[in-house]
Amino acid sequence: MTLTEAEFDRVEAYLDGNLSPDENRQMEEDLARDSDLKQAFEEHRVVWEGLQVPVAVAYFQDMHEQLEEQGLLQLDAFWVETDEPEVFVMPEPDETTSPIEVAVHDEPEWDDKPGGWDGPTEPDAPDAHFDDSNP
Amino acid sequence: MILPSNPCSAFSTDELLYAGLKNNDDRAYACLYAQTFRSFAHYVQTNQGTMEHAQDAFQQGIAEFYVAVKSGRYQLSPSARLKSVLFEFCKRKWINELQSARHRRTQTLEVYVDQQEENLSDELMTFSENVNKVNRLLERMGANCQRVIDLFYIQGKPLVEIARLMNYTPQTARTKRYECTEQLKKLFWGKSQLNY
Repeated sequence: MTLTEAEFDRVEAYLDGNLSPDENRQMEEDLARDSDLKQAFEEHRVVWEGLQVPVAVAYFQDMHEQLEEQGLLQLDAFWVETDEPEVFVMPEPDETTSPIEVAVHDEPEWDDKPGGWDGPTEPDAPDAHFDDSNP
Repeated sequence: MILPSNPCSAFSTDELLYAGLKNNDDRAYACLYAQTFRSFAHYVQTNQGTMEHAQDAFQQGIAEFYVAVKSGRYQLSPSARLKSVLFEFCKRKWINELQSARHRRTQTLEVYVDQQEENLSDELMTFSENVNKVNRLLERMGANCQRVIDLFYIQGKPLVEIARLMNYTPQTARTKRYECTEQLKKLFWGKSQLNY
């Protein structure tokens, strides 16, 4: 099904978030009721999404520059202070020191330490969080 | 775009961060960018890439993630951290790029991809393939259609401005925008040959 020009404008306004709450509700009711409209909408949405990406790339290029200027892309950009002292277990204790040393840091701790890189933090389980039905 | 010194300060949980992303809050995207970019840049630099490669690949990946969030394709999962999802998505895109380059040089590349990670970003990878296909097809369209679509969707020009730039009436500009986009859709879905 090809969208008429009026339907085309309405679908684009819906995807752009430019419909009023009443118009938005009506659009969703129509999509739920009319399978042909729903299919035409899905076909339109894929192309619309593809055309949004170059705009978003430019947005993130600007963002990168600003984050870099503000020093927010450095390794020490984000940190949290910890109240608890860290406990280090020494790998090779000798006779004069305890195998456990307690270090109280005056410096803040980084909340996102590098090391053992294969991902930023804990691996997360996959699941069905990807919805291809709701705009 | 004015960003605070710590854009993450307003987003202490993934739920708050996702709400910020859905609201197109610059701070939310800046937080996600800053939290994830360093990890990804390190990954790329230890996997045959440079910082410049990392920057380009990450900006493409986060831009696709942004559109997936905006259009409702991607929705928050309680078991997947946003920065982990974005990292894995960008990582898979980078691996694909390396494999593609190796394939062109008829070499093999052995890359371990965890099955769990693969499942995590399968849908985003399909989304990414569609994005690439749309933009490849756009380049094959006629010059006028490419220009109308570029001016309207990518540069965000109003139809009146497009009419002025292309020497159309405003109604012609509106019709061209409609016809060219419909043509692109037909090409994408395999229903048409190029005729614009």
